[in-house]
Amino acid sequence: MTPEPGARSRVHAPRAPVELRPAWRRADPKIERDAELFWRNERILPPRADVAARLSYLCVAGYDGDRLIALSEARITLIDFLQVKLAMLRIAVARDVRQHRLGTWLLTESRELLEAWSLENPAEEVMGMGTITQTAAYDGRGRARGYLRDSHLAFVGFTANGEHMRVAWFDHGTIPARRQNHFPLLGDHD
Amino acid sequence: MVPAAEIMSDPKDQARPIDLRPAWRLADPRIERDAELFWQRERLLPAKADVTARLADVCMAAYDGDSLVGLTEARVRPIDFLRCKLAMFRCAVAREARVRKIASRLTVESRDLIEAWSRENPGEEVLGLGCVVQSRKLAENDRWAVWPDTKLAFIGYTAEGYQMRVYWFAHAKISPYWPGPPRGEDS
Repeated sequence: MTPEPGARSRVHAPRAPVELRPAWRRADPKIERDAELFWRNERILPPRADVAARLSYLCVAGYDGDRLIALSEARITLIDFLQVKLAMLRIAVARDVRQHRLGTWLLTESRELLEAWSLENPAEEVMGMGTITQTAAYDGRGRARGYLRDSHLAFVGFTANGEHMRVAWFDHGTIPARRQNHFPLLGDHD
Repeated sequence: MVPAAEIMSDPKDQARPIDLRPAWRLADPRIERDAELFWQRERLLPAKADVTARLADVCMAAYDGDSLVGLTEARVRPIDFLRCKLAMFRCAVAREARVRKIASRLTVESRDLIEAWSRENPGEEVLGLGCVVQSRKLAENDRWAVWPDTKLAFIGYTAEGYQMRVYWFAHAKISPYWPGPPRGEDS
């Protein structure tokens, strides 16, 4: 998963050296150890965080040499207003390497990894990857596009907290023929 | 993106090509006359319909020879929950002409037509094509989250329970709304 600028019709390439390593459902002890250190160094773990649960969500790890500098996590969640299960992704990039498009690359690789896994595991019924943008920091580049070409993330609306929600539907993703009756508002999920 | 020409794969269809004619904001009198006849013939006009307004929404017409067999309409409207304007789309095909994939071709061509218009008219601030799926057959039989031909992607359900789908234009940039204080004022 070493980035190759321009590969697979990508629009953007990272502007810092990074080697991406798949971590999804691998319980890789090295990545898990590095992830925990990364969370602590970046102060990403809330005081009462369930570290074991967070480690089980690890998706893709980005390394510069031996140093873990970026991380994605995916948590499979039923999204009531869409009536499907999505892999809800969160990403974190080390402070000193932000604004180098590592996040874009991580999103794209995570989506491809999760899509391949979903295709091989149809019983899990995961139809896409979702994100909720919880930082305005990237807005230095101006207003975000409705559709992000690399990650395939498309804007689907605002959460109850006013954050952007996006979904990258997998190519094999389907939706129920009918919706059920009960629909909590977007944002009711943890 | 799938070019409209590739969607039509049935050799029988290729032998009798359908002619797609742009109508968006052209006020073409011939297409308008044919559209009104088409709506009446297919019983698509509610009793109190505002025909003038509907004609202003006409986007593209599909002709089989001299006969109008398919029509798309788009109405630009604000979509509050997305905080933007979309061209809300509808498509109708004559009963006898269904199963010829005319709707897919019409949708792709209409989408591209409105996207080009939107790019050339940034002041209109139309960010994408939206649709509410009101065909039970379509909702039940074509369950892809992203329809392969038109790339219309599922974004949720209306209050009435219909699917809503959106295709964001390539140049579309969404609302910069951010909760809380302006940037630089928070910690």
